[in-house]
Parts: sequence; C-alpha cells; structure tokens
Amino acid sequence: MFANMFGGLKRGLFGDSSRSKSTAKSRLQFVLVQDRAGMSSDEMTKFKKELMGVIEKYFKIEKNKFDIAYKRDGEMTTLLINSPVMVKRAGEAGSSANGSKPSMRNEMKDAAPAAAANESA
Amino acid sequence: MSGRNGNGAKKDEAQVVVVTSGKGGVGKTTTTASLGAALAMKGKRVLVVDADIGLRNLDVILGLENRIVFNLVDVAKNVCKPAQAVIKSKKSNNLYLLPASQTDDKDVVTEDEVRAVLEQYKREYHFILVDSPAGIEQGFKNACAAAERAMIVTTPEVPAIRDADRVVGLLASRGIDCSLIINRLDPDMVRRGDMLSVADVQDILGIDLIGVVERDESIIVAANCGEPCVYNQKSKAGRAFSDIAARLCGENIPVQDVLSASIWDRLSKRLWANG
Repeated sequence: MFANMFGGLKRGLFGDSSRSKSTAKSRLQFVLVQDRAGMSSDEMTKFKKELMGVIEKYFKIEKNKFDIAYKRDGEMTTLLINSPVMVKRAGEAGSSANGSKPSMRNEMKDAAPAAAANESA
Repeated sequence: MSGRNGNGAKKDEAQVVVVTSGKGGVGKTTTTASLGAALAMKGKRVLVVDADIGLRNLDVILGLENRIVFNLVDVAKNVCKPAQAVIKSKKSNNLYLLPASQTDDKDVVTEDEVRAVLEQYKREYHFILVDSPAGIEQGFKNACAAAERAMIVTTPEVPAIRDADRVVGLLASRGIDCSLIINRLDPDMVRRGDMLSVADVQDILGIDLIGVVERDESIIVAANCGEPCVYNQKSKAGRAFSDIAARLCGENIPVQDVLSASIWDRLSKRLWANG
C-alpha cells in the first residue's frame, strides 16, 4: 500500500508522460560513462569541469545542459561532448532590450575516437 | 560472419561460443541448453560445457543430473579420458554435455587447462557452447578461454545491462566478437513505458543483436521437467531460441518486432490464457 502511495506521488510530481523507462535509460547512460571511462564520480566531475573551462574560453556555454556520453559501436568507443552554446545573431542589441534570450541552438559534438575499449580485467 | 579470432580455427573444427552476462540469473544456462538443443535439432553436433564449477546447473536444465560420472575438472587433471566425461542428451543424438564439478571452486583449473580440454573435443563437434558463471573473475575467464565468439545475455533491466556492458568491454579487449541476446522482454511493459525496449538496450550496449526472448512461463516448466523449451512446439521462447540457433548457423532470419504483434494476437492471449 505504501509503495502504491509513493508511486502515485511520483507520477503526480513528474506526470504520466515521464515513465520509468526514460529514467532507467538516462541513469544507465550516466553510470556507463563512468564505468567505461574507469572514472569515479569525483573524477568525472573534475573532467567535466576542466572540459567546460576549455570550451568557455571560446564560447558562452549553457552549463547545466553540458553533457558527456561514452558511446560504443562494436569495438570502437567514442567520447561525445554535447555542449549547447550561445551564438550571437545580427541585431542582438534590439532583442535583449525586450528581454528575449539570445538563441542557443548550436550543439558542438567533439568526437574523439579512442582505440578499442581496453579495460583491464 | 566476422570475428574468428587469431587462434587458427580450421573449417572442420567446432566453433566455440561462450554464453555469458556478468549478472547472475539472467538466463545463461537456459540459453546454453536451449541453443544447444536447437542446434542439435538442426542436425549439428553440439557439446554444451558447464563452466560454472561449484554451482553447476546445465545438467539439471537438461535433465541429465543422474548421469554424471566424470566432469570438466577430471578431464583437465587427466583423471579420465575426454570421451568418458561427456554425456549424451536424452532427446537427441547430436547433443552432448560436459558437466562441471560440484565440489571444487573456480580456481581449481586455469585458462590454459580449459583451453586444452576444449581442444580435445573440437574435431568432434560443429559447436561447443560454454555456459559461463556469473561474474568477471576466474570462472568467467576460464569460460572465455577458448571462445571465438560470445553471446551476451541480458534482461532489459538496469543492473543486468550495466554488468553486460562491463563484460562487453572485457571481451572486446580479448578480441572476442559479441552478439546480444535480450531475455525476458515483456511487450506489455515496453508498451507502457515501464521497460526498456529492444532498441534502447541495443542503443546502450552497441553490439549486434542476435535475438530477443520474451518472458515465458514455459521456460520455468521446462526447467521443472529437465526438458529444454525448444522441444515444446507451443513455447514462444522455444521458437525464439530456435531462431537464434538458425542465425548462429548463418541463416538470415530477421528479429521480429515483438511490439507489432497484432491486436488479435494480444486479445487471444488474454482470452485463452491459462498457460
């Protein structure tokens, strides 16, 4: 009975459209980045921070949308960096005056193919 | 078919396939037994090897638990001849079992010893399927010792997929080709959004899919009786394993999209549901 109440509460908070499988998928993707890279959670945070620092030297970035994925395709493993950046458009000054945000459409994917995954046993 | 690794396997030698998962309880033994039986039904000579030393179960799934005299460890330590340890299955002249020992632990044999044991059988069979224990320690390494190819068994659940991913990484570093088997898929849960779909699991793990087996009560019944589900015409899981066996033989059978089962199929399942 308690489990049902909790389930109902969760659905109330997140809405019926957010089913558990989406949560499962994103949690797995998060955990596998660390597992595949062999990094602890702390190391991963440090790595992300340093990466963001580098990109920030050249672009204005949307920090809370910054994400790293570690994708496997057969024997190849690829590091994917997803970094929404803010790009200035012509005539920007006028649009900020009425409070609209500058567009942040661009995603920058930086694929750095690694050699075949070589986790030691 | 790519991926025979550099061990010089000749054309008239068995293809050695390890069935592994990382996670325990996802269906490795059921898969090994069912694939073995299905391949045997297609006329292939198959040796299924139980590499789960100390926790053997392949014998029980095949209903051969009363017939064990010698085992893999005995062959490795030259206590008996290779032919003496092998047990013919009850239902097929093509299916044989090399059981594990039940009283040793997994460090009793080395990878080299297991490789040497399997070498002695390679010329007699078309396929050697090795049932790996759970985990990634010595037992797993032994099971992979002679393997050219791996079947990675996972269920569509977070811990199973996580462990499967780790295993895929380890096997890739050994140059062993991996194929994915998704077990215990529940189409209704997938439709409701409460279970990861086939596409989700494929996307996450990034290896080739060789088959999908739906959750099926007939598997438990089969285990109760010691008769692999492929012998049961009515078993959906049995048909799924038979399809996987066919793909292992190089046949091009597309993996059916379980969600596209017709409304009539789903309705009739509910109307006649009593097993």
